[in-house]
Amino acid sequence: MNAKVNLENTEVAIIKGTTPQESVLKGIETLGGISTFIDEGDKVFIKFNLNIPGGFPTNTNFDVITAVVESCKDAKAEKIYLGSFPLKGVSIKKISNLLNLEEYFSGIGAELTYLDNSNLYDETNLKQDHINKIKTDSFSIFNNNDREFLVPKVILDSDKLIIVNQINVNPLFKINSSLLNSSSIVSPKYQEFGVKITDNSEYISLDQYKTNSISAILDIYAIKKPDLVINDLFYVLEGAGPFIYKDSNLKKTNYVVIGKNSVSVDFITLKLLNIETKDDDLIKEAYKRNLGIIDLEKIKILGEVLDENGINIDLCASKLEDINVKNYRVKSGKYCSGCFKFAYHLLNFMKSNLVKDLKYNPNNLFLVGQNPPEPDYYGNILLFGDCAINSTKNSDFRTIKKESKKGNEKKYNTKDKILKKQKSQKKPKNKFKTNDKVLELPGCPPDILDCMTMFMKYYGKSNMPNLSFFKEIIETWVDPKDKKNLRAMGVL
Amino acid sequence: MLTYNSNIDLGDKLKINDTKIRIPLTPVEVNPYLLYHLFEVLYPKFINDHNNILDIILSNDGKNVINIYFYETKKPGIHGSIEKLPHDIIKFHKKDLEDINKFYSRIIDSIVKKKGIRVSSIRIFKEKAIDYINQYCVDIEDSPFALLLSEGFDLIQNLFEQELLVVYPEPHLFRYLKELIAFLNGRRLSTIFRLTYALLPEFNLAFVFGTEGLTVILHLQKLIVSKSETPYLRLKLMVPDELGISNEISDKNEILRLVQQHLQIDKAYYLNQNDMISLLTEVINLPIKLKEENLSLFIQKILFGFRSFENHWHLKPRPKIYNNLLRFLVRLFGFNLNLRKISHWAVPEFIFNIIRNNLGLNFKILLIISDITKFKKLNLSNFKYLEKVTRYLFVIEIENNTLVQIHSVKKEDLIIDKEIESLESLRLRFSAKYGYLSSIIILDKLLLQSLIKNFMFEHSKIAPRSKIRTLKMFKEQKFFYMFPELPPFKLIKKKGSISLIKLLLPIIIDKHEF
Repeated sequence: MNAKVNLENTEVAIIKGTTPQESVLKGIETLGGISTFIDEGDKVFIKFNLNIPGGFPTNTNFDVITAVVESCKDAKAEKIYLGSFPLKGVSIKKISNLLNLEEYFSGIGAELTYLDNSNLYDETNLKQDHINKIKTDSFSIFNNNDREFLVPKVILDSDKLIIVNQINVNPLFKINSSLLNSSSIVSPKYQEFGVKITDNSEYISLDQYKTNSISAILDIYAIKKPDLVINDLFYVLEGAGPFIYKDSNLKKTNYVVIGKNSVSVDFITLKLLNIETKDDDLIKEAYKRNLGIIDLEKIKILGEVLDENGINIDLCASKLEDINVKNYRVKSGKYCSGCFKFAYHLLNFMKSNLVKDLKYNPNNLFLVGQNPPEPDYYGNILLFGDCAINSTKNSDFRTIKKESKKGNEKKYNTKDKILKKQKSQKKPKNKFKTNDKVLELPGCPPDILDCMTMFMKYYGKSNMPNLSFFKEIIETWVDPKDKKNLRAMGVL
Repeated sequence: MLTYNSNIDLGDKLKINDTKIRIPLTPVEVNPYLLYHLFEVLYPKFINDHNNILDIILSNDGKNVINIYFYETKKPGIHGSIEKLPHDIIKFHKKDLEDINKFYSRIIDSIVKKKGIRVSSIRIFKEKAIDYINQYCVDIEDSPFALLLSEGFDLIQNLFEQELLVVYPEPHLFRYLKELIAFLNGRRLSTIFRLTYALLPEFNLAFVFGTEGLTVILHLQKLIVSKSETPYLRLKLMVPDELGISNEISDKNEILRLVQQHLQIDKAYYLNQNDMISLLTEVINLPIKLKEENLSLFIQKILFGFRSFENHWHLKPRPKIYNNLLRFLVRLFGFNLNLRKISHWAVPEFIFNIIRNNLGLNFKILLIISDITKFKKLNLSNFKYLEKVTRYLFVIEIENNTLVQIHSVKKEDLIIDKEIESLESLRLRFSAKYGYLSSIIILDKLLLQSLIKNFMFEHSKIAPRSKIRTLKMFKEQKFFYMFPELPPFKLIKKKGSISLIKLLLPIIIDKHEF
């Protein structure tokens, strides 16, 4: 654990092949063969992308995983584990059941590890002392940089760690790097990067969310460094990602980048994708922490020549205003990366899946960040995040001014009109009413599933037919019972 | 046909007489003017829209010219006369087939110089193609029509697979057929036709293709005489005058009523001839390796057409679902069944979203088409029964939302481990061969038949019981099963049929009436 990186011998292989699995195997061969990484009798843990019960490229390419498992078997590894923590609130057992992963992996000679112990949730009487025992048996508390992480023992105890990472675009870090992938060796609770608030006033201006995120990613990475890192960019999800959205496109590049060190492998991957590395805070910070080399002269590149093989991909929208959602206008104030990330996903989810709902509910204004601009029209106003809610408490749009005619609405009959003269014309009364067309989506940053529930409540079920359907689909894999158990297990 | 075409004056009004001529390569006899009209309308759209055609018959080795025929056309598609030209009018080399564009230019120059006429299209047949065509035409008038269609598909496949026919400039239809046959990779078009034909219920329909020129009536009938015999397919093409329907009648519903009355049919559809031609043109312009966006747009157009009842199409008897009072009553029970408000703009995207979200952008699925009709007792406790009931197996491969390949799988490959109740052993075996299988879908013929009958042939019939029965079949393992049970399938299994309809109807039908 925490072994110092051999900075003098960083080899990275860039391989171009006809299939992803062929490219990966060729890459391993180029780096000296699987026996360079795996010894006979080793316990190997393969960390892959497992986010939701979806297909490729939301999760890693299973053909690539199969090829890596076969390779480890060839090196006579004693045991091959596969695992990852999925998205917040989703249990591994649920995903495994829906995709039948446990049996599939068992069939190829590996074992799916329930890092969240969700395979035990079905036991009816899961009492607190039993839970505590499971926790003690399966997790180790690890301290790094004053942070405490609950790390699955199966990962810490494994002899070798392999990261098989699918490259998709990412709104915060441009791409889903292997460094980012490695952060899901701990549960989402410990990946909650934004919670380490130092100073509220500077939180946004310094983009503390991103700084904390980077710090947490690198702290987690340092817990157990991988022995083999595979960045699979044979197919890259570009345009919108890392989940499949309407603007997503799968670009076939035929490349994989493989190496021993995540930082170098990610650095070369970024270079290959023609993404500027100078501004990449994650890579820079990793280098600062001495976690890897980001100097092209010191990295030994094998396989393809880097300069001759650049690929251009469409990255995620860098501004929320650039995500065109029908009947929605986005206006933002100053926001941090946390709100950006979650608003990005929410807007893309809506754009992709709520086509009909968006048409049924016109004139929406989506305000995000601190002090967003005052809206020029009053339709439905959605305030995303605590910053938007709190900074607009006294904004004009919060109240509606209504000129009441009641003050001078004294009824005169015809006789009165003839006989009496109106003595004085009363000024119309102004009535201020709370604008009920404001939907607050609280949270720092807000939870997307909660936002969906609030949408349903606000717009009404009959105006949200697609969301009603997708909510029911999501409920097949996000179970409140699971959430309760995940909480009890200390991973949510 | 040539005599008729050469005698008719262009712009002639329809002259109905008792003469009937056979549509080339079919046993269907029609009024000559109808055939003239069909060629006039369809040929320029699907084959060639220029005048004069040259047919060149080559020896099978492609070295020698056997015959050359020149067809003069008054209008594109209307073959007026045929003239046999001397062999030496053009010089032919085997290599000419490799650069057909150059050869075509040479032919044009040569024919212009020697005959003073301009040829706009050449059709090159190898002798074997003529043999195949002649073989196909033997007993053409006595063969059952369904069998003839099947043989017709075989003929087309043979001509293209063996490169026995070249047409230049290549029509879109030919490009489409060539790509389709290449995509099928040895699988027979005739098999697909027979499979599809077997799924269709018994029907007796007429389609009236209306236009300002000549209205065409197509009478289609599938008769099931007995379970043991092959269903009988009947096709007739006619013009309204042949049924005693005057050309003066412009009311579409009245035409349909008369057609229904004369032909004694269950349903009569009135469709616009130009709309149908546009639709067919759209189909042949679709890439064979279908992309999601192409398919989505195509489905949108079909749904838009479907919702335009009594605008783009008419149906007799008029379906009760279009009765406002009845629809109002149905709505009182919480079902909005306004078929004129089908969300053509949202439904395709919704379907593709479900696929994308659950299967991803690259995936492979194993599709098992079963037929349980012959097996009264099936042990459904494990999937061993599939070995008996499976009829067809396909591995469908999708890459970046595009259909890239359909692999046919031999039935013998479907061996299910008795001890393993799930289909995982099968998935592992197939994944090793074809790559990771995201899903195995088992679809029984009975469900397909029920879907086609209740949702396609009786699309506008309310019939809640039969429709719910069909939907319920999705929950029964012997009719439909998805392994692993992905979220949408879990939802279907979990929800009652009525609540599922209530959940889906607002997505399929627009909320607003106006």
